[in-house]
Formats: sequence, structure tokens, C-alpha cells
Amino acid sequence: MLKPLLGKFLMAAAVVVAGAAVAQAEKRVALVIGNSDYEATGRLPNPERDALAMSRKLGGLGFDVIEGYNLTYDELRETVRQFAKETRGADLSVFFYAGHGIAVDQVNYIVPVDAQMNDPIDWEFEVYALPDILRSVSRAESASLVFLDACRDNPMASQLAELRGMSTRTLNQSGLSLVNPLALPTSGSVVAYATEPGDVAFDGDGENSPFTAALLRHIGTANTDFAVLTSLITRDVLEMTGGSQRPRFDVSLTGPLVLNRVETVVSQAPSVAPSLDVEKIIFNTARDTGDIADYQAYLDSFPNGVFAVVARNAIARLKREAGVAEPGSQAGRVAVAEPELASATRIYRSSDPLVLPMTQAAIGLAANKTTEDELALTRMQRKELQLRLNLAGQKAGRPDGIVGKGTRRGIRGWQRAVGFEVTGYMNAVQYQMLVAKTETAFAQHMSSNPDALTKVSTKSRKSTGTTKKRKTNTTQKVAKPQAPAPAPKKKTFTESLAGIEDRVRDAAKDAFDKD
Amino acid sequence: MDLKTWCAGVAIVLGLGASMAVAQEASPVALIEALSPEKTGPTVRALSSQNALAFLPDQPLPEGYDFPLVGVSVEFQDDTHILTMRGMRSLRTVAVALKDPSMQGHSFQVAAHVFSEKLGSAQFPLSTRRARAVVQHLTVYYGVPQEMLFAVGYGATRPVDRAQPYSARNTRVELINVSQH
Repeated sequence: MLKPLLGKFLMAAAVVVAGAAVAQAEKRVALVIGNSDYEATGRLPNPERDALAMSRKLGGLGFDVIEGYNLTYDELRETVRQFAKETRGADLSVFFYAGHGIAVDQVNYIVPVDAQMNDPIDWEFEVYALPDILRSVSRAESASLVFLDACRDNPMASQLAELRGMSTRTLNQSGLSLVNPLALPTSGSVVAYATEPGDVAFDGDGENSPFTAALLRHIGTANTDFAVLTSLITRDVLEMTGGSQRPRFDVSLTGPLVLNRVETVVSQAPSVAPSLDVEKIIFNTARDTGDIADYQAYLDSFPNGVFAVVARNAIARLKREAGVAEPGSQAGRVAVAEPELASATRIYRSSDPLVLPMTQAAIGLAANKTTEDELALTRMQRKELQLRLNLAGQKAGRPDGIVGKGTRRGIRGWQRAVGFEVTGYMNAVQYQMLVAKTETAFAQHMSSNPDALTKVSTKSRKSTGTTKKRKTNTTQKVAKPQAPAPAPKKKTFTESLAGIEDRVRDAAKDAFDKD
Repeated sequence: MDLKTWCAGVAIVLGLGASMAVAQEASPVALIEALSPEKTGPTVRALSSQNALAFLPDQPLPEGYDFPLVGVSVEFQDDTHILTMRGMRSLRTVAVALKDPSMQGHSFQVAAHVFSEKLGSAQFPLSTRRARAVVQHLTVYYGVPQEMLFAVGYGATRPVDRAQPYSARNTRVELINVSQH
């Protein structure tokens, strides 16, 4: 038994493993806990070994490691307190836990070895809430990594569920739930779960649990961003468990995090090389296995990588072969279209001016009284509509917020100019187009006339007067058609004809319009 | 004893609500990442095995499950479903993300939430109109396939900030990956 030899917890001063040049000047602290000897439910063979191996590994990477094995509740509390002190001024902190874990009402708890879990009320006093530990981690102004190899099949969970009469909804029978990201430091963090939240992780038949074994294998990879390591770890765990356990990483790092930075003296390769190597390895693996998941794993790590296009094509091809081709996508087309679309995402700039394209779908949408009423424009918004029509070169009258024949004419003129069906009524999509087309002019107008839409000026009242007057002059208007403002000066015959038709319709409508 | 369940981990909220001073524009890449089931696949799979098809993509989703979700800052004019320029700019980003090859074959719910004391019973219909306006804008102007999007108005039923129901944070538009693979 390792336990008596190691003591309950001990401070391991950075053990420098030969080979790894630990030149980091930064302060790194780690808390490593492994609980194996459960009083109530029997022994889990691996956690102790997992924690021991992990603390050695972390020591080799320049961490001051606080270890704890088979901790009772009181001991756990004391250890966490000690760790909290250590995190002060740390640049990077790591928390590793192996043992039983339980999630109740979305809160994760670490189960100490002395927990009995046989009392529906007392249980809360027997387990240690993970957020309490994370709080001490997050106090550090640093990046933090949290590894939870804790979702081992938990007999206590079902015991507890029975006692409390809880549904599986509030109590994850087995496994942990997700950690609230807000509880973690803003300076970047990774929370790693041995398995999918809510699932059970294997304790493993070997020396270490599959998750810890994979972690140990890869965490010390030289000059590799942690984000890359995650895909390697995932791969290994999937492989070891025949695909039944998939670790999960919630990565919110603000920059690259390299755990083992090695300054190579043999510097024939610049810093690009290691990541390209890794990229190659992952891609080659995918090509060897020919598995969609492996290609996807590559794309996750290197969305813009050298082989990204090849990987996407491969996925499309494999999907097609497997008969899961997306409906409507013919064979060849996918391969051709995809790289194009992929590059579209890259060249896209959010600062580019917004130009809405005229589409058949937009033209085909009905625009009538119903669609306009649906917009439920307030008086102020109707004023804006009129102002925008004017800015678009139409003559919708003074923006008074009263939609009468002037406004209708403005809408019709605009619809004709832009290419919509001429109805004189707006719909949501057309209004979007109007806004997009007039935004610059509108912004300019508003900056020089800040009150343009708020005040009902005397002028606007006057304009109502002129509107009335015009009503009597309709015949004159038809006789003396004025070219609508926006259109180019030279017009084709049909266009001018349409303009006259429009005006005649206006005049006819005016007779009935009691606006 | 039963505490409210709430979504953790999966949701990255990139900007919320209409009245945000500076509407944050997320990059399409960030959106794709947030909506990719690959990142959250386990949760979705767990869901389908435990509670297969317990939701309909065009209906309000059950509470307490982790769907790949992202908040999109879509701005509307006052209490209408008229998109502002800023709102349309956000949707252009969304359109780029949705048309990425990695999003092919997925379907999304456009969930609009409206919390306004003065609107009262009009909150729900407005949220529905807003969701529809977003879907319509994306399909009509960007050719996002109609069958890829489901517009759902939630009214004032799902606050983010439960303490202050009429907080601006609660009025929002979310994109939720509801693909059932």
C-alpha cells in the first residue's frame, strides 16, 4: 500500500525530471487529490496511483504540488486551505482530482473517503463542493487548469437518489455536471472532464484510469499548445475505451498555453515546426484510420490548417460514401463548393458596408396593408419611414408621421426604383432594404437635424395644408407630370408611362382618401 | 430543496439585448464554434439517449438541457420587429456562420425573448414576430435554407436574469442547435 508511506498530504518541491528543461520563472502551483479508500463503498484501485503519477508529472513541469491521498472531509478542507494560500501570485494553477464525484442540482461535489451518504439530510455535510475549491483557484490572477477524473461509477449516487426520492434530473446518477464558467478566472481556464458530463468514467483495468493515462502521456509534450493536447488526449481515451468514454474539455484560454516550453539549442527548426509536426501527425492519423471523427478532431484543432480543405473534403466524401449525404447536395458539388465557402468565412469582414442583395425571394414576398399593419409602426417610426423615403430620392412629403397619399406615392416610387412589386405598402423585408439603402444618408441627416423625428414642427403642419390644397389640383398634376426625383434623367418610354400611370392612380385614390 | 437547473458551460453569450450600448459583433468562426455539436456533442447525445426526442425543434425547448446555444445581439427598433442597421449587421455574421460547410445538415431554432413591463400580453406575439423576422431576413436575403431554421417566440417565459425580469439582458435572441443526430 502506498498510502502509509506517502502520508496524508505532503508538499513536493518541484521535482525536476531529467531532460525537461524547466526554465520557467513563473510560479506554478498544483493541487492533486486522489481518493481510493472509500469506507462506505469499497476501494477504487486507481485514483491513488493516478494522483501520484500526476503529481510527479506536474512536479517535472515545474509545479509546486500539494498532494492529498485518501482525504477525509476535514483533511480535504485543510488541504484546500493550504492550496488557496499557495495560489497567491501564481501564474498558472492546476487542480487534479481522481476519485468519486457526485453532481446534485447541477453542483459538483467531491466525495471524501469518510462519506457515508446514507442520510438524506446529512449528506451535504459529508461532501465537498467543487465550487469552493474552484473559488480558491480563481483567486489567482492566472490561468487555471482543472482536471476532473471523477465521474467513476458511483454506488453512492443511486443510494442517495433513493433516499431523497430525487429524479435523475436533479441528481446525476453517475458522473458530474458542467462547471459554471463564471466561477473560473477570467484570465483563461480549461476544465477537463474524464467523460461527458452525466456519464460514467472507467476506473480502468490498468495502472491508471484511461483519462489519467492519456493525460500523463501528453501533458508534457514539448512546445505544444494545450488546445492541441486536448485532441490527442481525447483520441487516446476513445481508443482505450473502445469509443465508449469521451473526455470533454471546456477551453476558454485567452492565449496559447504551453506547459512544457523547451528552448531547443538545436535550432534548425523555427517555432512553427513543432505545431506543424503535431498537425501532420494528427492529420496522418486521420488519413490512416479514415474515420470522420478523426478528421473532425484535426479540424477542431486546426480549423485553418494546411490540410483543412483536404480534411473537409474527406469528411464530405466519407459522409457521402456512408450514405449520409446532405439532401439536395449532388456528389461532385460538395467538394467544389466547400473550399469556396470555407474561404468565404475567412475573407469576410464585419466592417464591410452592408449591402442587401435583391433576391427573388425578397421580391416574391407579399407587401400589402396586412404586412404593413404587422409592422405596427408608431407615429415616430412612420416619420422615419417618410424621411427615409425622401432620402432615397422619393417625394413622400414632409415627415409628419401621417401615412397618406404622399407616403404611398413615395413607397410606390421607391418600390419601382429598387425593383419590388409596386404596391404602395411596406413589409418587413422591404423595410429592411429601405433602412439598409438609406442608412448613411439617414445618419447624416439625423446628425445635422437631431430633432428631425421628435418634434412636430410648424412646417410639417403647413405641409399638411399644402397636401390638402394639392388635392384640388389633381388634374393639373396629371397634366404636368414631373419626373420622379430619384430616377436617372433619361427614361425609357415604358418607365415614363409607368410614372404617369402611377400618378393617375394617385389622383384617383385622392378622391377617396380622407386622410 | 430542488434548485433551479440552469445551463452552464455550453452557452457562450456573445452579446445580448437590443439596448446594449455597443452591440458586440461576434465573428462567424466564434459562432460556428459555439453552435458546433462537436464541442457539446456529448451532451446532445446524452440527451437523445436518455430522453429521446423529448423536444420539437419548432416549439419552446424544455428547460434544463444543454443545447449548443449562442446569444446573438440582434437589435430592433423600439418595440417592433423592425431590424435596425446594427441588427442586420449581426445577422450578416450569423448568415456567414450558418452557410459554413460545417453547419450543413444542422438545424437551428431562432429563439426570441421579450421582457417589457409595458407591453404586457403583447410580449409573446412580439417575440414571435421578432423570431420570424430574423428567420425571414436570413432566408430571403442570404439564402439560408428555410428548413434549417425554426422561429420560436418565448415571450417573457425564460429570463436569464431572474432577479430582475425586466432587465435589458432578458430581451434577447438566441440561436440554438436543435439537430437530432
